[in-house]
Amino acid sequence: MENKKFEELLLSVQKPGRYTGGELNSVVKDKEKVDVRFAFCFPDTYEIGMSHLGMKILYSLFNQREDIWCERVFAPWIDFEEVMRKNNIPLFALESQDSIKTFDFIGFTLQYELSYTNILNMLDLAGVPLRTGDRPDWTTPVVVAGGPCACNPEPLADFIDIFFLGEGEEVDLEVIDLYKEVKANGGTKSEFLFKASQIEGVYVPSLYNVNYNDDGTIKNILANKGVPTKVKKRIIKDLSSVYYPDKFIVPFIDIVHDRAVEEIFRGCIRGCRFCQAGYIYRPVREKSAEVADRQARALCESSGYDEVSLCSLSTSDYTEIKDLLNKMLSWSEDSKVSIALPSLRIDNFPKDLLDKVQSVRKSSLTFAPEAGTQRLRDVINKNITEDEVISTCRMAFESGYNAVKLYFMLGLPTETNEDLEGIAELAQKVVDEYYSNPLRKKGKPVSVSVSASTFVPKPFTPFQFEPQVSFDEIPSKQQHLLESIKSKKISVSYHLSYTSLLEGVFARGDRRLCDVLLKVFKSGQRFDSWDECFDFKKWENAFSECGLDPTFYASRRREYDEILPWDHLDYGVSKDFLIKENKLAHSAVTTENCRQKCAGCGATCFGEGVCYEKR
Amino acid sequence: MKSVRVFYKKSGRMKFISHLDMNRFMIRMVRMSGIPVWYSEGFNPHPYITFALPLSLGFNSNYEVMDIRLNDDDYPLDSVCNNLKKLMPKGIEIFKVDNPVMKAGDVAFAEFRIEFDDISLYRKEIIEFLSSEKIEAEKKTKKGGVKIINLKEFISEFNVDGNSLILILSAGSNNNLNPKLILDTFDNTRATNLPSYSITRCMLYNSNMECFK
Repeated sequence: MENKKFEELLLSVQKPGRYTGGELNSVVKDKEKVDVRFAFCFPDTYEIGMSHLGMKILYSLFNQREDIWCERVFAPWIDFEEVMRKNNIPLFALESQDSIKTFDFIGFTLQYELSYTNILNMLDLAGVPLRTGDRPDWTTPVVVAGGPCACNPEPLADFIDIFFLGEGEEVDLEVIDLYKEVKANGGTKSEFLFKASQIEGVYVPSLYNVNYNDDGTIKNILANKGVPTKVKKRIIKDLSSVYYPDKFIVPFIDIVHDRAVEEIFRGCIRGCRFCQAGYIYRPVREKSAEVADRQARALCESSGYDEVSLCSLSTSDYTEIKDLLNKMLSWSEDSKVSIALPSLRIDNFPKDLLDKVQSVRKSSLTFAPEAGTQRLRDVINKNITEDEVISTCRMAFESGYNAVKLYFMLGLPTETNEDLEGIAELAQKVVDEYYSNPLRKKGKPVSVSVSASTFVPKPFTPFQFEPQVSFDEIPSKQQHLLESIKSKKISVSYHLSYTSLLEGVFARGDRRLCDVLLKVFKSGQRFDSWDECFDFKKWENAFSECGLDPTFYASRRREYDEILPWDHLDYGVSKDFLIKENKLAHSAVTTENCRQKCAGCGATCFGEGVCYEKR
Repeated sequence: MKSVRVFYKKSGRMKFISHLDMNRFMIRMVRMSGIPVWYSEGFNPHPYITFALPLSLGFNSNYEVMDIRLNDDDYPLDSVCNNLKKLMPKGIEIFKVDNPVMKAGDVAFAEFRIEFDDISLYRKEIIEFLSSEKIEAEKKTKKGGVKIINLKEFISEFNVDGNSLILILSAGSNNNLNPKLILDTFDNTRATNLPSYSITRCMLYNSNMECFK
């Protein structure tokens, strides 16, 4: 399209800076001089996608290679999509502004289930046939996907050629190399897919057949001849030596997380039973403090960022945290860089170090007790006690905080009204703690915000067998919680229940849902995670037209011996372990964390990380 | 501590970056440049940057003015210029760094060049429109209301040059007029649809019509 016309169209939409590219540290190459063009697609808006660390890592990693040019693509917001469709502008990559239809690969990152309609929409906008069966040869790009939701990729099985299971740094490049090799030798796409399926961490869904019982459960999952019956995820063994970007793209427009991010470890020792991330990223592998410090500094210097955040599932569990902070403080103060420590437990953290790190922006403190009573916290294996919450609040109030956020989940397995009342009681105790401090600043009220989201059972967790609370029950639970709150200092927020239901359906769904997805997309549904776009009516219609019942997927208890749609995928954590943990949950018995005692989850099979630390 | 004045052009895709985003972007560029920049004191130290006059989203500019404060009074202006220049993306062209002569608040007028694809059909009508005694238009107030203003009071000069309309308009914090309001008012009152155009801000002046330095 003529540049001038394009620029005029951009002026008619919100935030045109989403679509123009050209940011600091973005990579532009000569397309004649590369062998493989890769469109890295994030199925949500620019502001969300640009905040995602995984994309930054893989973008830089791919572009390190001279023969690959990786570019970014985001879902156009609905106003620009309308302009694109009206003016026949195909989906383009930001760096070259070229249509991605002629690229070698289109890759999606699967961060949350409610982005699936955007994936179909993006393929459609690109002019690429949606179903793998309609892309039999090399005339269309190879469509790949990875990320946490790839652990149950079945609801997307009809649309994606290749799923990458686990961490992508190695396996992605192996597949790209294979692609080059097969194409150079004149091989076909199906030959390529078959060969790819032999690589560990690669799942080619079209090479597997799923058969169902009369009741809708799965009878068996059969791999084609020569294709692995079980696909094992990939992990990076050594985080200190694996590639990490020394530059981040610095966006012009404001994005959600606009700062440098340094990853300090992968995995989590805790084993909270509701938390998928705690299981699918096992085992814990740490990056050395020395390397993390060096990388963080390089990132700040090459981006102009004045804030760097340490990234992991639980900052306090990083064994070298003090050492790392001392190293970072030696340069960060002079260069006016502040260090952000998300998910830090401050109760046993040296106060002087904490004061140095958090010298600015002292406003709010966040806890995630997740459940209102100790019984229910034992059920979910969330090892935080009321005393810990209160004593940390006391410390925080003494040093000037006056706002606390408490995160909870509604609809956890075995939950009763007593547990909901417990949420209100805990919040009240925090309020009381504030007013019991004689030194508090007069006239400065405390504010406790309770956020109650709806629990969604996820694959590869001990709760993968559990029914999700049905969406008729959620409002009454929310109501009961509201009625239990007595203080005006406590505010409560909660989520829309329909989106949680849908999330639950797709999290544990099978490949029959592909038809539902296609139908609902054709009815115009996309951006499901955005309230202004979510239309449950369209979803209901799509389910009933396909003869499928959402409650079958969301609200049904699975027997331990039922074949689950992801049972042919191996994330190291064994099904037997998950069953054992599920039983322990129902008797409210906790499991020690990986550093206290090995629980025998199965992740030792990767031969690395916390499993081999001395205890 | 001293202030230096940076002059640059903004064009191409950079015109889609809003004033607020430019502000944050320039702070990062200054941080990265290695220039001995002065940091504001307080809880959240940051380089201190001010712009002479915000530029609307979608406008090109040949004369953008930004002041930054340095710690080191003897730091050469050439080094400021070169260090910033090499960091700038396509679409931002730094062409001069100098000591400030006027105060930022001295900006009183701005000159715009509005280039049309083809203005021949409307040339006469536009001149007639701009020559009238009174041009009434609705302007949104900061409080969210609407008031009727006479645009004529804010138009200092106008001229049609080929397919371009040149406008010198009141500018600054008090009596700022966006040229788009003139064009929209023209379309609204005459029920026309002007051909597509692009707007470039060419120069800033003080109240004596001297170039802003």
